[in-house]
Amino acid sequence: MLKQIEKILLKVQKPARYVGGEWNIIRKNWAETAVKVVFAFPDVYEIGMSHLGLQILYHIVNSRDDALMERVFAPWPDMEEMMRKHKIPLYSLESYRPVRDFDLFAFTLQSEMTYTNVLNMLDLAGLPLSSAERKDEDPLVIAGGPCACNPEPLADFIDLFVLGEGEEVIQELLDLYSLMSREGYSRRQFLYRAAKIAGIYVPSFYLVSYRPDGRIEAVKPVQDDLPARVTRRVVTNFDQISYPTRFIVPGIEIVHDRVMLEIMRGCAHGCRFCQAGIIYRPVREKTPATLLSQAEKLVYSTGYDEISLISLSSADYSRIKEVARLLLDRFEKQGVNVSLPSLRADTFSVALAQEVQRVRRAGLTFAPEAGSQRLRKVINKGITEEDLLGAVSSAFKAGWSAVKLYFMLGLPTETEEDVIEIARLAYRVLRVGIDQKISSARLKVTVSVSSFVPKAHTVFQWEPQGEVAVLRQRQKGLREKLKGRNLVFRWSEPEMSFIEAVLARGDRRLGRVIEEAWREGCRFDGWSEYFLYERWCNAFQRVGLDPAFYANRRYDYDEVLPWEHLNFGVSKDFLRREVELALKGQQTPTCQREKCAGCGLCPAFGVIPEIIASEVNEVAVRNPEVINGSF
Amino acid sequence: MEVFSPVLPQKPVNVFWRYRLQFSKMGLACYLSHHDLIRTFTRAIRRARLPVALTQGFNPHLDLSYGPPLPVGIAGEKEYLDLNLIRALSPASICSLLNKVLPEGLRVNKAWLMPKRSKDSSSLVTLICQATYLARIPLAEEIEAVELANYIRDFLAADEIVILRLIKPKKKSKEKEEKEKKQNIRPGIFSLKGQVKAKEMLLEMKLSLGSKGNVRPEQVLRVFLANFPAQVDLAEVKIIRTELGPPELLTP
Ligand code: SF4
Repeated sequence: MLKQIEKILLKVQKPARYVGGEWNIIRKNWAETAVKVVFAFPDVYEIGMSHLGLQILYHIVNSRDDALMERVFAPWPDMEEMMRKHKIPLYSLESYRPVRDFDLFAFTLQSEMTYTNVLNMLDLAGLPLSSAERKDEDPLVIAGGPCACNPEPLADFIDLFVLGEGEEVIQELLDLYSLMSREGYSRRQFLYRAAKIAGIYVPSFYLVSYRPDGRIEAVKPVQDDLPARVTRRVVTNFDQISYPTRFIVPGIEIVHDRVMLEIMRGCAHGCRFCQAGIIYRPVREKTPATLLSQAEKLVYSTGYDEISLISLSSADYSRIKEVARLLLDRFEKQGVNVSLPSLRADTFSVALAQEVQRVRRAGLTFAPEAGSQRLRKVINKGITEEDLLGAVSSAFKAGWSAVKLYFMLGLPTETEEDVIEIARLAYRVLRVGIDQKISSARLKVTVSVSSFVPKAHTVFQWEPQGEVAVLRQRQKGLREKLKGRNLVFRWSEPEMSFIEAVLARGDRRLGRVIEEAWREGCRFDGWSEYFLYERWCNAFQRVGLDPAFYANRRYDYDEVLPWEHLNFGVSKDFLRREVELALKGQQTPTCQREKCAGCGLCPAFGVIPEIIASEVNEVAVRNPEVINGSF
Repeated sequence: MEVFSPVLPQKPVNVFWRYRLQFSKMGLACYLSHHDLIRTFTRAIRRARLPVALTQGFNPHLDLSYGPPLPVGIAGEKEYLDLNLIRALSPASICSLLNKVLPEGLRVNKAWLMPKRSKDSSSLVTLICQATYLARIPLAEEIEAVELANYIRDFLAADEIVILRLIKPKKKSKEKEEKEKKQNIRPGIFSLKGQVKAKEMLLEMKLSLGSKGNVRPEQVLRVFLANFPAQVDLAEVKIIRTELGPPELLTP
């Protein structure tokens, strides 16, 4: 197979994407391994290889004696063309075997805009798209990741979804598969037993009925012994959770080309538009001792010269300063840097960045999300203008000369005034730079705007998305106001956000639209150069569905949501209460520092936030001998 | 075995042990660009914990110097790399430490401790002025050995082999259009030998490399195959750079 592949490689861009052979890959004996899994990332190699979940699952599955995991990514359109022309099926990068030969074909769904790629990969693998048409000997097609929290638009194509964190449930699923493959099983029998594992959702076992107005009437399991609502998985004792000691190190440059050290999972801020803030609850931190030992192994098994402290909001990790210091003390002399990918807009975060980041490259990024204080309160973004200006001021003092500000257009209750405030804020930030005498040649304030997309399970899940025309017009207004020197304006296409919103809040009927769009040639929809809006519109028309019904409609509090039968732990009452507070402009404190915000998740799942800030702990962690000796 | 970590010297270190490494970049590694290669070696050196010196300054990094880059898709059998260590290690242990941590296709064949840096110890890029390539060319139909020999003889008989090169305008220049430039590559072709084996043709060519005239193997092949009796798809040709030279100048 490799021979065949090599014949076409010099005809495509970046052939290294398609040959594997990277440092730390694992090739197991095919014949002697019972369960073969191929991890599929439905986007280009450089993005897929930057995904922490891939490294974690690769490690977990390959640590089992009875299972192996290999990788496959979406071929870029030039490679797809060559593969189709030369009849090369989708193949894995470890053993160059056709994906069809595996037992499990496991997708991660990081963005709705990869759905056509999922279909394309099924097709390139030579498999029927529809789950109902696949045979016993075909691989089981499974999918997880954040978009699996409303997987309905893909319900026809995927055999089972994994809801929530995968570390433990993947083991249970493989145990079951291994057992049943020894006993001989039918596809349906396996799915039926898998559906009883917590966190596993088999869409074909749930029937959806619709009301005459197009909304959902009910979602019901086909058999009484299946759960009416499938609950997502949460791992506990996060500090001790299995974490790779080796990462695959690609030869070509990828997006996150460094050691990713996950210091915390979950985020306590409760921004009302944010899906990650809900689906990764509660906050769980690792101890400094664990982090230091993981960093030690990872730096020398990969050879990377940078450790990135990963989480949704790293400055909120309770002992961030201590951990940063420990890592710097250990690795600075070895030429290894520490970096923080997600900063809050406040002086604490900037001071932290200043301490750890020796190189002032790329500028600092802050996300005020909304221009006015009023709107920031609506979305529960707890930063004030003083916070931001203070942060920017410290950043300029510390030697950065470029800052990037992220905003969202079309947030609930947004008015033109709020948009004008974005421009005003940008000018105030610029003013700070000028006052601090940053040379005009280097001073740069980038304003980057995207459009609000209502997402499943969030406080704003019922809210409509602004119409494309309105979003465009607000964007244009803002662009005109931001034409000054040293200002850069960047925006994302509202049409892309529109399709994203449709898929994010969609139901199963959309499967036909996705299939139609794919047949029309849609691929890599998240890449503006490949995004074909017209073809999507045609697809909706042909199937006879109105995209506005999903994106621009206010969903009713009482209606059955397409994801109603998927339990992500946060209670509906809490979300409704939050919408009311949002409309009144009232904020809800973070659940980490202040107090529990009462979202209902912890009692429902029997978990608690795992916060490691305590003095005793600190001593225990640093000097275990001292503690032992003193007792 | 001795294992050290790369250490950031407190004071600038003046005492280095300079090593020259000869490595091969074969198989899958031929798809790595020169930048990828540099990154890969840098990381491998950290994995091997070699006692390397880091450069002084804002963003300390390894001080490595390489020979002329290999284009993506061309393999290399004897490529070179210079490396400074702050403690002496035996060349054999450098090889074995690195070979344990290099990805597929990359392998250090040999290492030499080089004489202390003196005025005439030039860098690899200035030393190297020629390269030998082996091209494996799949043929649609078999041809006779004599036929090939005659074809090569005629090819080399020309005083001039002129190719057209498209020159991209410099980023800041006002001109937008690509310009065509003529280049006579004949003086840069030092030798060309051929052989046929069933449906494969092997061509070995020694070409000029570097600032004093650079001839790339694909350029030669394009002209060579233009009127060739059997049809060939250039993308299916496998090229290996088998030697850089003059070899006697590269090793102590
Ligand atoms: S139940 Fe309370 S502590 Fe737990 S995640 Fe929700 S708000 Fe945070």
